[in-house]
Amino acid sequence: MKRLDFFPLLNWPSSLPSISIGDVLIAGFDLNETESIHRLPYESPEKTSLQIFEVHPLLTFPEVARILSHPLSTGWLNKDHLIQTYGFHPSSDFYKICELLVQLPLDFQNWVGMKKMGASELFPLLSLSLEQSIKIADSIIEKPESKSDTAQKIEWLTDLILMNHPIDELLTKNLSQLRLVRFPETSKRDEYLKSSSLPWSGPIKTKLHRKGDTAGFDVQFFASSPTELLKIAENLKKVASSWNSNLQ
Amino acid sequence: MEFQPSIELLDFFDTVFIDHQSADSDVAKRFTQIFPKNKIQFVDQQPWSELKRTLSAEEFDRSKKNLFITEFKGQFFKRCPGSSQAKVLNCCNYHVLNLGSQCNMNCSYCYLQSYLNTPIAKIYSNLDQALQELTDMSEKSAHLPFRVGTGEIIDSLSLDGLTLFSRKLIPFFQKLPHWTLEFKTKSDQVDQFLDLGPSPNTVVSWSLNCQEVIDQEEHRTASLEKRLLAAEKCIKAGFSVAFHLDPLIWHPDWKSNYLGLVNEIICRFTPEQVNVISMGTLRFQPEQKNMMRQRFGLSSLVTSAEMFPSEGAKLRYDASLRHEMFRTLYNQFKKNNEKWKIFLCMETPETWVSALDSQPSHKPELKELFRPLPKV
Ligand code: SF4
Repeated sequence: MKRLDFFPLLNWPSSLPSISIGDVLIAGFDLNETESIHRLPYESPEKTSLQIFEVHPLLTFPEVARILSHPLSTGWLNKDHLIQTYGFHPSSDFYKICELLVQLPLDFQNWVGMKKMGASELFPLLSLSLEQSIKIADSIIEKPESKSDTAQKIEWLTDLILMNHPIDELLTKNLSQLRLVRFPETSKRDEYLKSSSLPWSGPIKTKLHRKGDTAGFDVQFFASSPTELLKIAENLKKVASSWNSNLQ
Repeated sequence: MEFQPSIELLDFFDTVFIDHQSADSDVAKRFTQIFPKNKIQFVDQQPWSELKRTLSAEEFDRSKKNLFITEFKGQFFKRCPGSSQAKVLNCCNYHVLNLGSQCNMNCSYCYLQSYLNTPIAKIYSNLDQALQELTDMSEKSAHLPFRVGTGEIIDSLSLDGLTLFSRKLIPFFQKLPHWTLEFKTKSDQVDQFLDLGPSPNTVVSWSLNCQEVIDQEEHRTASLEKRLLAAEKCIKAGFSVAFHLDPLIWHPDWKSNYLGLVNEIICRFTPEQVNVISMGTLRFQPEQKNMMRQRFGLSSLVTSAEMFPSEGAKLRYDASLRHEMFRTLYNQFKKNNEKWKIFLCMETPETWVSALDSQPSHKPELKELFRPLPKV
């Protein structure tokens, strides 16, 4: 019996028999092959992708990638069809990232699967060498962060490596340190705004904040009377005109 | 004698595929005359038609070098993409007529990288149908100031020496004096239609950039000097001219380089000679980044740019930097002469106000451009 072992994340329930399509085992790889195997008929490459989906309806992207890159799958199943059956979009880059992903440490692949990261979040790695991608994957596994922070980190690391920053140095930095390196001019502008001596006074508390393409101040104050409120308004006017003249 | 395109342009393409159904069209006949026989192939269907998915970087590169002459199936006449986001972005009343898709030039920021998914450049063989659609529209709207542009998903003129579409379009618009035909290009391909002038309602417009950015980001386009020379030729032949300082791209010397560009325009042209000058800073869809990174690496000013999510889901520079860039150039033009007509393309009302102290519809010199038109 041939084995399309794609190292599934979830263990196959021992109460169920192994399953094969024709003479290719697709589920229950740990079970004793001499025990019962439920054999599905092999009909066509398209039907095969549907049969795999029926047996494993919840595969993650790295598991699908491992099926696609398994030598047994070529010609035996319709790859585009399999990708679409699992709700992915079969582009050339999707195939390329699958090919790369299966060469990265299995722990990283499983982490990508558990966090449900999308293929496109890994696309930046396509611009790097395998060695560089492995280093990034290892560093992510070493200090796992949230899915969105990881996606952001992969993108900034890729950009910075391609901008010739030494990879080992970059890998020691956290996300906010990487931001400073990736956005030096904007960081300077933000810093300038923060440190510009705008005449805030009285009970006004401020914090510089960046929202997408704009930086500005979160402004907080407490007024206990109309007179206080008017004073604050006066101060805000002064700040606005000083800010405005800074811009000219 | 018919206009002869440059050898360089003919050499650029690997193969010209002609759809059998378009074989009798004027454009197909011309291509069979001007291209060497070994570059022409007649086909029953679009090459690489099995590729129905997002193009890879290599497939996109290949699509630039192969041409498919075929009929456009559908409606030629569309409204500018900006107008569908009318609530968010101020946009000119601009209408789009697609005469093909893809481009033989190769700008690192080109939005076609995230827009096109056809694996081959196309030239449409049924221009007559497009002209018929325009004729139908003109029955109701000949008196309205329609602007019709041909440069949305193909450069208007870079292949015009091959297609000679301009030679049909210009005379058509000459009969509709309230309408404006707008060619938008980064090439210097104008010699093929200059004899049709004067034609004041044909606006030939150039996307201009400083030579430093052209060298680094606008591959295979005409140099700044060649674009300006072509503009001067057009003015001399009686065509109108417009400039798009777009995309303005940040680089360490941006201020002096872009002020140099403005000064060049000011020295060589008068506000009366230039219909309008639009300005826009670099912007692109986030999905485009991957393709650009693979095609241009990170030594490009575009891929390495500091971009942030912004209105319309595009990535743009920090807003205060955009305002500074706009203000710097705007003030330079206005310092020279108040009459320069400047507008910001694909920008929010906040940017207009912050950078130029006013919304476009409040600027007397731009009022006409932003007059609402009936939907077509
Ligand atoms: S000239 Fe325009 S269409 Fe052609 S590559 Fe450059 S941006 Fe794209």
